[in-house]
Amino acid sequence: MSAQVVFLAGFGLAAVWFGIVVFRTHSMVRSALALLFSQTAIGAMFLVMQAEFLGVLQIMMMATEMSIMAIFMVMFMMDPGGLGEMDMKHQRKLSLGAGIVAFAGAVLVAGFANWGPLPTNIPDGGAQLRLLGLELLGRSMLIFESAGLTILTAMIAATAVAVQPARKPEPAMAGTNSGHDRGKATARHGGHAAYGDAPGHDHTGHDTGKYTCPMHPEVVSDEAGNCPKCGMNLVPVEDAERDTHEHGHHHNQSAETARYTCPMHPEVVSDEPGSCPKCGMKLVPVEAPDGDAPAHSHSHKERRT
Amino acid sequence: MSTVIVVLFLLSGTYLVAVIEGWSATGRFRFGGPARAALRLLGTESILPRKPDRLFFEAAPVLLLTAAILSMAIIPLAPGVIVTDLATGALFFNAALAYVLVALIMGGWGPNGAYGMIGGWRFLGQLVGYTMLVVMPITAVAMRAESLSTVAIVQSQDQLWNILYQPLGLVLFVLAGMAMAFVPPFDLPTGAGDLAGGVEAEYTGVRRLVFRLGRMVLILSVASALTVFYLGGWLGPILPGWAWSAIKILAVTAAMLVGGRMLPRVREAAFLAWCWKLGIPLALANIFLVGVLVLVVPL
Repeated sequence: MSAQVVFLAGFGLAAVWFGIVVFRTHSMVRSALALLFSQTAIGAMFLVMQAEFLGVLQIMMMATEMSIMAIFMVMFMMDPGGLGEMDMKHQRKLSLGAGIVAFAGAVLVAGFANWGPLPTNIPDGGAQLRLLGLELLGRSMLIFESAGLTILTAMIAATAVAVQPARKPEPAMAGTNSGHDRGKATARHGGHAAYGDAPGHDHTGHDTGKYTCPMHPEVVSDEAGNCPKCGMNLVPVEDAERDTHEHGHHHNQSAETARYTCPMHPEVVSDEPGSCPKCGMKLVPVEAPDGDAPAHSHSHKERRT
Repeated sequence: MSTVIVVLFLLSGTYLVAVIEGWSATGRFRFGGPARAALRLLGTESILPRKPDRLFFEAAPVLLLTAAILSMAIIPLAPGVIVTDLATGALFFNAALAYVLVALIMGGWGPNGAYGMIGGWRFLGQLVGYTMLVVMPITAVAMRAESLSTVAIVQSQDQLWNILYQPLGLVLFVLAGMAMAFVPPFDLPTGAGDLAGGVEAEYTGVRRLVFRLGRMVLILSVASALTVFYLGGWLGPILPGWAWSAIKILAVTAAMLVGGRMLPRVREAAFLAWCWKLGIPLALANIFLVGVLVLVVPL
């Protein structure tokens, strides 16, 4: 019995420690695998408590799930390797408060719940399996069926929300001049919304009706589509121009007050150091490479005209 | 006692798997080959790549070896010769080998090299394909035995081996098992001549030796599981049980390694498509057929 308690405490501490490691590391893959080993330790706790099936199931399922989570994090995060010192902690005060409340709740439940007497004769693994099967296919069948249906509905809904409808060319674009302008205006506003920009930055008068690639400014096209070099969606030229305007703007201000921006999201600008609201990377001070930005925007204009 | 026998079996079996692998690759049967290769790797400098994730890099080969050895714990070699006869044995086999994936991802990510990383993630793609085709045939096997215990599974085949009772499940399990052990034609994660060896690309010296050792134990483990689940384990006339186990496991290993060499490599995307569009429906059909057989033909 005492050896059991020692092992249980050891695996429990391991689970907590790996849970802490999840937030101590900057690397996405390390973070995901730390979570995996935390869950594996919980599976080992099940084994120590002689819940054999649950333990083995936990240990098996988590390996695959956390690995798949790791690759999704690598695919969607800007900085999966942690080289940019991405911070894993977001909304510190809120999460700290939520954590304390949850922990207090767990302690209260553990302390004050009536757990009943300790079971003395635990059935062996085979009998447990049988009992579990009868429970799942008998009394709990309705719960499992409805849970399965709920998850399926959620999956379909999530997919429907996530799927971006293919960008269709506006039918009015090929028509009259006024229709042409309207179509472009819609596209431009959409673009602004996507970049999370404040309204009032519109330069409707500068609209040239052309599209360019965010990565390859030399690619200029008359219609929306994909960049022939990298396949990214072409954005209206207006956006690119606005970006350079903003840059110039910031350079002026950086001379007076220190400002911070995200290395990946130049549109994020803050007066204080911190982390980027979009990707969580540390904001860096705005540097002012004086000769660079104006020449850049100049070349943009030359290419366009 | 039985643990000692299993350890001896592991050592000799792993060595023979390495010999058979050499035979399948070169066409020559050289008993000294693996020993020479091991000595050569021991003598090679073990290079540490620049800016590695050191923890992952060092842990991955050890984790691969550990996972493969753990999965051997539930293989009965003869009546009573088993490390632990878990009530959830067939599930435990799969749980232990799920960490092969973790080891490959860690080994691919750790060295900070593109080839290794792509190799590791390729194996994840492969896993999404094969993992259901490991579990679902095992379900049918367990249905017939009415137990997940590997000993009970062998005993359930006393009258008729599962290779005849559920041949469809066997085919699916062989292919999934080969993908799990990443042997040809499913060897994209570490395939020689592709990605400079993939996950193995950045491993040299003793670390590579441990990695390759883990892979050999993994192949042995998959072959042993196949023997237990479908070929009646230790069952057989005249010869003692352990001899039948050894003969069957080595034959399965040879068939997997040599047969796999005859096939072209399968890209993981194509593998995924085959597994999910054809494999899983067949596995479901297999479960259904076995269920009907179990109810109708009490054999």
